[in-house]
Amino acid sequence: MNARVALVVTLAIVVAIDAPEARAGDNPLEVTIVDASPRAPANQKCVRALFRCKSEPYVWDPTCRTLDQVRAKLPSPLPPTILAWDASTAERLRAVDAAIIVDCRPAEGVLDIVVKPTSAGVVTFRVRHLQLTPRLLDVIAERAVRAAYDGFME
Amino acid sequence: MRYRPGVERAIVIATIGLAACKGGARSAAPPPEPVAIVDARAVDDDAALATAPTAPTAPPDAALDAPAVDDSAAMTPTPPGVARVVILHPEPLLPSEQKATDRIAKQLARSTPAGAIVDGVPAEAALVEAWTAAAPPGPPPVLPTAWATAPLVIVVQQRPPRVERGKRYGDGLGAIVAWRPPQLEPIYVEHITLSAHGSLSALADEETSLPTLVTLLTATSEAP
Repeated sequence: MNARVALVVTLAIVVAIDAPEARAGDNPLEVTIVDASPRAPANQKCVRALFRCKSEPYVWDPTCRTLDQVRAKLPSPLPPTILAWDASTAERLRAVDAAIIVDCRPAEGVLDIVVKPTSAGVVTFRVRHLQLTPRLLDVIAERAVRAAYDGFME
Repeated sequence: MRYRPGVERAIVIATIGLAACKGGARSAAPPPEPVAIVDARAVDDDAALATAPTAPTAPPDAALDAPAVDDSAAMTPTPPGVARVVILHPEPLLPSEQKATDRIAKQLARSTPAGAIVDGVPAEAALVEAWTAAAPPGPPPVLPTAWATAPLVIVVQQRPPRVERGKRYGDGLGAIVAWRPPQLEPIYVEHITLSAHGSLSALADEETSLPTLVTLLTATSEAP
């Protein structure tokens, strides 16, 4: 009898070996990206350059919105700059895992970003007086995305 | 010999399962004590703490109360043309943080421009506090004269460590702020209110490391 039980247990384990394991990155980060820049083609291009609004399986699943599209979720009046938003305001835009709010004005050398991840708190970025080169945008985007993953459970 | 993680797990389960069949529940090991998951690199030990080579810059509240005065005399000078990399740490660095700082210092020595790490003083802490406050300062605070010859000053503010069960654990970074003297307004402010996000170790090793930031923020042209 004991031998039969051992055999069943062993067979169950052998089946379990082939079961796919959950691995980090199996679920993409679902993030809402909100373009809070004044409406201008250069500003929109900057936001797209920062956070490509394109899903990457297992890594990143962004939903891109303009501030007008999500305005109904936000208090009124809003502070003049997104950096003055409190965490609860940014939290209202976090549909699933994270929200990233961007105000990018290359002509003025201005870039503001608020990252609201799953965990409590925010990370903000404020760039002034610099040309928003592709390399600079890449590095800042990398740091912002790293912040967006804070507290993310795959 | 290394197995796939799933195979290792299966072998362990099979062993336990067979042992349970053979000896019953009496031979099952007790469940392990729950343990806090922390970055092992950030775990401190008292002996190492006692010999931590770097002195604290200021107690946590001192930064807030510090007057925004130029205390350049108290600042460690940096050679002209060298980026000044200031580490603000309200308490002595953990051994892992000290090692990371040493790694960053070596990388900065090879960077363009070269950079030198110094401990922050209260006036530098006050500048960071001013630019990470809820509302930006009205007239921009004056920069210390000790910064005048640096092409870039970048200040990394560490959060005070967490203490759990008498041990200290790194609680991440509070801010990274960069200036290009004599411009009074910082060109880059990264303000972190998350707990345990970022670390000196990450700034030494990750793709967007501190030397990368120094080089990039120095080389990027001014906006037209």
